[in-house]
Amino acid sequence: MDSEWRRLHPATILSVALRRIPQTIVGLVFVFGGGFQDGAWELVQLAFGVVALAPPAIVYFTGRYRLTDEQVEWRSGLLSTRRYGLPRERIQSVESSIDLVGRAFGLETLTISSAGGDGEIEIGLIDRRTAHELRAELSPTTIAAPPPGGRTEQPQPGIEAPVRPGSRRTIATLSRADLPRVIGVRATELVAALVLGLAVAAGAVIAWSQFGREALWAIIGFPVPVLVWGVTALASAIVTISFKSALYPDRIRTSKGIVGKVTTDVPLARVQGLQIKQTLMARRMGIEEISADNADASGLGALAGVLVHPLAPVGSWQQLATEVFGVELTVPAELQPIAPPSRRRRWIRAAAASVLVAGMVFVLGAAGLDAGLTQTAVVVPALAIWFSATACFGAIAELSFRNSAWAVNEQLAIFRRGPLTTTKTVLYRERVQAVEVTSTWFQRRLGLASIVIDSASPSTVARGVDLWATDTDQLALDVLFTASDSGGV
Amino acid sequence: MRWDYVGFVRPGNEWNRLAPAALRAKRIRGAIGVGVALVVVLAALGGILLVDAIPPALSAVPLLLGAAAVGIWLWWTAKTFRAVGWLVDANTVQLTYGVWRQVWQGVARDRIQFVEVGADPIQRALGLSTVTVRTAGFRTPAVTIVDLETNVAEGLRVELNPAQVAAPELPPLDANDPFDAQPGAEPATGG
Repeated sequence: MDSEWRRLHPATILSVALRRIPQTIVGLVFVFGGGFQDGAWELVQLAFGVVALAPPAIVYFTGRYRLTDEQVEWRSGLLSTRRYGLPRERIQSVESSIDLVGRAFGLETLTISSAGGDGEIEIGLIDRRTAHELRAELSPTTIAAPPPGGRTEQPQPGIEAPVRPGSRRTIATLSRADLPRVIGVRATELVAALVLGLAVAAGAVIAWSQFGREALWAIIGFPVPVLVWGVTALASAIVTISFKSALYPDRIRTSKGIVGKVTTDVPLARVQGLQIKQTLMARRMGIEEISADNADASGLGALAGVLVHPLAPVGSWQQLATEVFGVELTVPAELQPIAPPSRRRRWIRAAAASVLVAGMVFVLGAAGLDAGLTQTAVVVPALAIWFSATACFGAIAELSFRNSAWAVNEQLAIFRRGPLTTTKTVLYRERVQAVEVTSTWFQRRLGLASIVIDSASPSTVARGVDLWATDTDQLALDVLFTASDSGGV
Repeated sequence: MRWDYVGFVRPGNEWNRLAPAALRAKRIRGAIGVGVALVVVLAALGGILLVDAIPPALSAVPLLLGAAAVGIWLWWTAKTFRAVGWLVDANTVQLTYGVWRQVWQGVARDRIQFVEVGADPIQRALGLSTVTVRTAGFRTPAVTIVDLETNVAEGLRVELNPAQVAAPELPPLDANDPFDAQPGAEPATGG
């Protein structure tokens, strides 16, 4: 790849305009819509319209990118120009996305991320051949990444070689046949949507019976939460159905989307840890969801990591971890529970929350009576709300205690938490950045403390709440004094 | 089981404590906020008492409350001041602080990205600085030691700078570079 500045495809204008649809509509209305008759005001209106419509054209006409031996460079801007260089050795992931315009013209957008929140370059639209060349060029084989501990001792065959078609291992390929399992795994969300919908419907019926037509808003509002949750569940299911992921010698590549398509490359040398999620149903079905996390902290998506396998068999993360970290891992046989006094603390918190809800319900009920509602219409829902809230708090307290567990050995720190959906964070100890131990007065009375073992990833943060203080003390020592000199990112 | 502190003091290593000037800085900083709050509270209480024509014997209540608040505040600042401890050894930087919620933070020295030293006007007047040891950690991005004596802070900056670990060869000074140019030196000309 040469180091000449290159332009984007002209279809970029259309793509950016569609992404900025509200601004585009406002701009078009200002420019072409009827408006002020006064000449000066008409000019102002036109100026506003041009300003609203200009950004897509500015991106196309001023946006240039190039690849040098050291870095990826991007420059753009008309009045305020931005020039950004991202050193190759700082690249955390390369994501390729295809929107509707890209699909029509055979184009892609590449998003190259570095560690941190703002370190991101978006190049697009560009043709797929160029995108493919860029992806290959930005392969970790050309990145001077700090080698993880064992990798220097056990060089992986082919790790220095470019990606070869024969060297990939498919991790997951989902199709329509997986739909029942996908729906099953996400049953918790669907049930939550149903419960929420029923609660809103009950509220709407009560409001209707009390206020008649004045409560029409309640009837109109009833389907909205159901619709939102339904669309969310359906969208996640659709995305999951078209999901593909593969492991290359130097990276994990994932691809998802039916209408728009997003391909993400995560260099193995940048993976900080794995997250393994299990919903209630997934536990029954023997399935877990595996995500890999790097140090990219840009956008909300970074908090969830990169989904690697939505329907992995339980325990398959261990093989993946071995392949990703490039060392033979010894996984702790079982996780140990947190300190038993934590259960008491959680139940006390649940009781406090219940009292708070009781107070709120009492105030709202009094307001309802003042507004003319009958006693039945106030007391029954109030008791129902308080009772269900208290039951939820209690269940969350008990389940979160039972599901919290941890294990740390020479290579991994594993922490599991969550009441219904459990998340197991697997942090490779080579990647540890810092350790924090905290203990409130209440915890100290019971001999407890909490620990956070931090990596550069926003999602791979190993958190243990209410461990025995002697354990956190020992853990902190172990983790801190065995940190390697690899830098960890 | 009794456990009085978060973190640990390993044999042979004692926590370094802050200089007494740090307590003064903490109190000056706090006094600005607390003073404003006290004036508002006392004015409100005094106003209420005057308006309601409470017997003169009770008019001292605001003063007593104010004095009690100041006393508690002085005691609390001293306690939080004493709770701060820091430690730099061959491998780690450690910090502990907090009274109600005690916190211990530790960073391996080879994880340090860079070290910052800064000082606000109160700190400058008292010869103090804040040292921030930054890592690439997302949730614990920095270990910050507030109100260190400036010479100690500068010493830490030099000692903990990653350059001291990697010992890179620095490029020669460039007279045209405003960061390298010596004060009063003529910039180089020609191309």
